[in-house]
Amino acid sequence: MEFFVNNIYTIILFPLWVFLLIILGRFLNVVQSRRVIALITLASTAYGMVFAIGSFLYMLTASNVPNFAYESSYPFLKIADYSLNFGVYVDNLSLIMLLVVSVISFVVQLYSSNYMWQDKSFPRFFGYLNLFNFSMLGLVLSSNLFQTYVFWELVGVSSYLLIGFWYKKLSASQAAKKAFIMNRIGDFGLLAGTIIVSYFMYQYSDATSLATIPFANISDIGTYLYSYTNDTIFAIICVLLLFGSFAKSAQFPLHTWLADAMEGPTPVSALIHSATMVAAGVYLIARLYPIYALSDWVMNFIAIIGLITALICAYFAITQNDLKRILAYSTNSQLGLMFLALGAGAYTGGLFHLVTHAFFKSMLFLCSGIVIHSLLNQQDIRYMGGLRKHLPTTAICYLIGCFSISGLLFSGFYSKEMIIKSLLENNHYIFAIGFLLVALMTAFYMFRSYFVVFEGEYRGENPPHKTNFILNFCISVLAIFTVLLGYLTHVNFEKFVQFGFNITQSTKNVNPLFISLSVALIGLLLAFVFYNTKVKAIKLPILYKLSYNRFYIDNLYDFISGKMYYVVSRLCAFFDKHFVDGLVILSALGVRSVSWVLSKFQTGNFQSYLAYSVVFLAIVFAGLMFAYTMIIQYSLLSGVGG
Amino acid sequence: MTDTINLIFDIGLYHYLFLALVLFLIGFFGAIVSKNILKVLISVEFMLTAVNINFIAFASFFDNIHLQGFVFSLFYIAVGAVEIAIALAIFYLMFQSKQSVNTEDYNGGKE
Repeated sequence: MEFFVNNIYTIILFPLWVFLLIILGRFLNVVQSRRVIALITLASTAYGMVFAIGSFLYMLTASNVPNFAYESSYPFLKIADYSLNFGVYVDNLSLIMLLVVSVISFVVQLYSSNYMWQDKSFPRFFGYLNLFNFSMLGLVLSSNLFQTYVFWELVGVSSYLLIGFWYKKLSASQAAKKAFIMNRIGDFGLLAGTIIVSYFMYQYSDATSLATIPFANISDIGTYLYSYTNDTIFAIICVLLLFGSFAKSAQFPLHTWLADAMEGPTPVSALIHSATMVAAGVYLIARLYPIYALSDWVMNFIAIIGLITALICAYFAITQNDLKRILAYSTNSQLGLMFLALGAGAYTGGLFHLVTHAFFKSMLFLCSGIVIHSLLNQQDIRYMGGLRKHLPTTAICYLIGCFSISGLLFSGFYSKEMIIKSLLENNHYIFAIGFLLVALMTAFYMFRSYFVVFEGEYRGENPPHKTNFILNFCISVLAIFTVLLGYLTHVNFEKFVQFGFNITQSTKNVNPLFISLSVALIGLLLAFVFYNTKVKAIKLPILYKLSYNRFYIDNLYDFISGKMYYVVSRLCAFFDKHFVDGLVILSALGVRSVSWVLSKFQTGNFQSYLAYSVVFLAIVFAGLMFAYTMIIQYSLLSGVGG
Repeated sequence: MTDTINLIFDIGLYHYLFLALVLFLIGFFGAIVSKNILKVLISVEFMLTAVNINFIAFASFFDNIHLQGFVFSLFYIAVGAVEIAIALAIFYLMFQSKQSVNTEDYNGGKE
């Protein structure tokens, strides 16, 4: 078992190798068959899955379970006594994340090998999937913050490539650009924060090895940083670092990219934009938790941003008509809940919700992929309905996902219960109320989508196609995970979900079971009444419009980046055209006039040439004679000789 | 008075140099302003002669032993004659194409 942990770095390199094989292999005519491409991709992911499970079992059998850690790193860049390492750092947190990433990757790749079979860019798609796999595993296993930043950018790139996979569609390439630019804003903050922390560590701490911010010593770094800075600077550093997480996990000011990212293929939405990459922001907060936890202000900031995101995105999801957009805003809102949980001290609950959410949300996306496939790329839920008869397995899995995400049954119930419990234990009543409000809306919009898509009468034109065995198998696997995960972790829970960071457990005993369940049930019943009976949904025009147009935040960004930027760029263009170009034109005019004057001397008459040359010679001789007499006078005066 | 007379009539190096200068300037201005191409040639001959006078003057006042200046001026006369022969040949050909001896028609330097 120790073998798996010691060789865990190979699972990062294997997908990279497969990526290069697929991308370069096409030019070298080595790998061309789709079957071979799918097989080697699945093999590399299965290899990672085996290693992840092996390491996880090793961690469970280790003597020091809550504080289990293994690090192995090699110097990558050495400048004097500053050595930047690249390596792997394995502890409870990264192992949990590793399991989630590799299992979901495997299922989604199996799914997409069937789903994307007809696409003519199938090899490119699998190449990108491998690139993503490589960068995500590298991000999870990275041993210091600089390495995390490198892989952080790499997941951003692979996300960009996969969102814009159908780059001939204008909306897809624009969504890819939007996602990339939004992420760049966050990455800027992350890089700035990293460099500042590194500076403080290098300048003030005793051990210069802390300057590379290794995760193994993150508690020491937090303590040092807190003692060397004042509250303001500490808060600024934390907010800068948090900006990376906010952008990657699509939190409030930067949340607009996630819904647009649904332009990518559905398996990509299931893998990257619901389960793994967007969870990287939460993962990074969990990694740097010892730093953030030192300041109450920062923790409250995280929680408030998370709460705002959760509330507004749940609100947006209620009125969307695009099936994938509903799920996207749902993801966004659940990510907000994770931030809320982490910020309010519900560390274990937040991360457990990350794990459970990853499974049921990727399952929901895969279900939506089957629905969209069987209706020939119809994504609008108004043209669906009654699909339970045509796609029974999908309907059951979708229902399981709905129950789970609403916190009514299965794994979602356990994680949400855990969050609300710690919120109440830590006396965060406002956050708890916000949490319940989000839970209500979650239940409502999820069951709305279920009832509209799978119940009632079919409202589309094309008859739905049958689905096939592999797609059903994939969603069933995830459904089994969704059902069982809660019970499995419940057995041995406190032991390995502590993630190596001890939080003081309050002795207060609260039991919010009744409240949270009843709130979610109200949401379910409302959705049932409005969308599955004859009762017409009450429409409040202003609220509906606000929600449907997402508070006009997209329009605001469009105004800022489009209109205001346009004005500024017009000014710049004016300056450039009339001032900078004017200088160039002026100098050209000067040269031109001088040459015009000079050209007048060129008469073509040899007599004038003769005159010029003699006059010139005369001037030269006069000058020489003048200089000669000056030298003689000078040497006579100074007595040097002469 | 006698000094001035002596300065004028007691012929020395400066007189020769002054003569050469005057001849050179006459030739120079003649070469510049003449409208007739043959007059330009004659003016060039003036300038050559002025230079020869310079050589001979310096040679007779400073170098009585080797007389290099005299020898050099002989060579110079020969070279000048050859130059003039070539120049005449060129002008002859140009006259055939231009049908003119006016210097204003000889403005091919522009091209």
